[in-house]
Amino acid sequence: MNGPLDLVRLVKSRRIIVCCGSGGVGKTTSAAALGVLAAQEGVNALVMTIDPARRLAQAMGLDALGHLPQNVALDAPGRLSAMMLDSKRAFDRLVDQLAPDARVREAIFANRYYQQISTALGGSRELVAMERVLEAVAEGGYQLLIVDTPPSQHALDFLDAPARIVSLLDGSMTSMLLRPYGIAARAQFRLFQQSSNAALKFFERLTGVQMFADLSEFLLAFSGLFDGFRERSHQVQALMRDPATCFLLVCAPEPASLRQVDLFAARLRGDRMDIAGMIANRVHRAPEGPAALELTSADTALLEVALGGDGAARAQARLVQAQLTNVWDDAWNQHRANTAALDAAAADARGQGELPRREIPDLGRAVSGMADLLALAGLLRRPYPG
Amino acid sequence: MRPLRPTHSLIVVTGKGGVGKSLLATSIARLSAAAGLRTVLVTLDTRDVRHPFLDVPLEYRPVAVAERLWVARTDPYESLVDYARTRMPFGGLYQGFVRSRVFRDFAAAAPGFDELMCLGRLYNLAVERDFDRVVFDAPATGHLRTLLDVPVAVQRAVQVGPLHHVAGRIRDLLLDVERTHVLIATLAEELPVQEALELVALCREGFRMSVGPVLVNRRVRFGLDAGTWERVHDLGARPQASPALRAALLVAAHEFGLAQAQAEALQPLEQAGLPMLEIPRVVEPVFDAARLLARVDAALAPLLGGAP
Repeated sequence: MNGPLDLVRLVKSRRIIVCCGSGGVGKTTSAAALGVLAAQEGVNALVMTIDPARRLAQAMGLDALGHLPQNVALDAPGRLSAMMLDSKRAFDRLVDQLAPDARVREAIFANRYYQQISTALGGSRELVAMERVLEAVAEGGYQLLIVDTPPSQHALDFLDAPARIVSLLDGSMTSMLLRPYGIAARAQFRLFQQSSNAALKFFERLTGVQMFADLSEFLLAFSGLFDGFRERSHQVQALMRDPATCFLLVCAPEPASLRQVDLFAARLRGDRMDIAGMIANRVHRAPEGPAALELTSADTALLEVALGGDGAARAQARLVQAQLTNVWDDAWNQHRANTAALDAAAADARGQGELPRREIPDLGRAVSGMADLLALAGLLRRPYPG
Repeated sequence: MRPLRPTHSLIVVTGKGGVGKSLLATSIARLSAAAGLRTVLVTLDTRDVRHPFLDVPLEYRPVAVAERLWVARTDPYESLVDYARTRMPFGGLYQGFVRSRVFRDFAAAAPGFDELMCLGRLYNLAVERDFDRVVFDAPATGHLRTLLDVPVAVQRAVQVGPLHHVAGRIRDLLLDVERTHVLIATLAEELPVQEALELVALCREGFRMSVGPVLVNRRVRFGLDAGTWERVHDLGARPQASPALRAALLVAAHEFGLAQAQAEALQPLEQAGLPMLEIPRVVEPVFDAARLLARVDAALAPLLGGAP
């Protein structure tokens, strides 16, 4: 068995907790409940969340514009704040901040390539998320930041995003594109006529001259932001490796989700980042009774009377008993499936070191209000089963 | 319900992360193959080395799974290498360059490039190779929007050249309601339903694609009508009730609540008048891909005109 994960100690000892996991595993909810737990422990915490469900957002006071930290109404010794990490045109804002002057900024905004594909720029949402974390660290005022990460095809994109953009701007391909010109030079078209470089010829053939010119112009304008990006990227990397930062892997007790956890863990270890443990959400408890449901004759009589006491009631009582048995069997099977998946994952992970684990029982409903968050915080505090 | 037609050579299966897209896409591919179509199930590049439900490795080249059924993974670099080799004059000469670190770095970061290359591969499989149908296990909402935007954006940005033509052909395929059909998967929960609605709006109104029905995965139906349940649900409080009945009613109440919450969560889809196809929640004591797929196949059979 994996050791238990002590989340109380974690919220009291760390400055940044990053929750990662694939989509739909309850990452956002876990981050919110962890924030409640921190506040209950007297820690001033900020939960930086992404796209919460409507009622969860309401519970956290984020139903209006939540792009700035909002106080969460909560009776606890610590202060809990929450903010949204997502904002449309967030990339514009970043360009705005990093552009050395108005001319460069306008050149970027005006570039056709940027206009049409800027949202597709590898991991821009992720980059912006990390930006806001840096800002919050710089501003201070919180003892703990709890960061929800964007759901993405590869949930670790947010770690790679700054480096990818730096590698785009720093890459030898880009320098090759930019070399013949200074920032002032604008006649990219000559690049193709002058250059005998096979690589450029290939790219030109592949993409057509116009796209190449646009892209080249885009990179040229963007290169003015390069120092800013590189600097930020290094800051993000340093922050993620800081001893006061840790990662929590959130998952569902299902084979596919647990396999994702394995992939994340390997990647994070490879990057020398600290994994505090894993949270398995929506684990089904065993029903309170033996696996085979055995109702008594008194139970049957009780059902028959409740259903009217006549012949039709007897038939209906049999239907009810069959349904109770079905549901009982399903509940046991779900419990068995969850347990088997978790045990198999723990056995698989043994080679690379087991992760401390916390299982959160299924509440049987979508977590919506503050009452649910308080219940979840209680479950995060206490080990389960137990 | 309008079933998938044999002319639909590209089926895009999408939805919020975690709703079971891969499982449903796998089932649709199996059903297509069973209906006589040479089918390839394509997943977007993933770090998984094996397919999660079919016991085969995931490779760029289609791997045979069963009669008329193959599985492949798209990968932007491999697609590009393929493209360069088969499409460019003296393509072989560029192989070394395309495989070089310099180029990989560039392609990884160049906006829209990955997406276009992946779409190019889908086009290649759906139109140019001898498959009758590509079932695309597509990425979640945000990424799908990008994926759909890219061919149009590239076509506008690139006025001439081979990429312009490729982007144009891909766009034509995606927007052709006779050839491409979108299926949106969801769970009966608030956020996935919201995303499903957004996806329908995006694909149907935004791109005028052929869409539907919404696939509602892991649906729980309570086996008793509300009136009957109302009369028995609180019998556990009676002194005659055995501990077993008490516990069973508790578990059943949980299930009843779940079924109701699901019905409520699906309201927005009903109000929008969208047809739905439900895939019942499958509960097995141990994960067993074959049994799971058999159950999902049965639920999805009406898509291909079969009996539910």
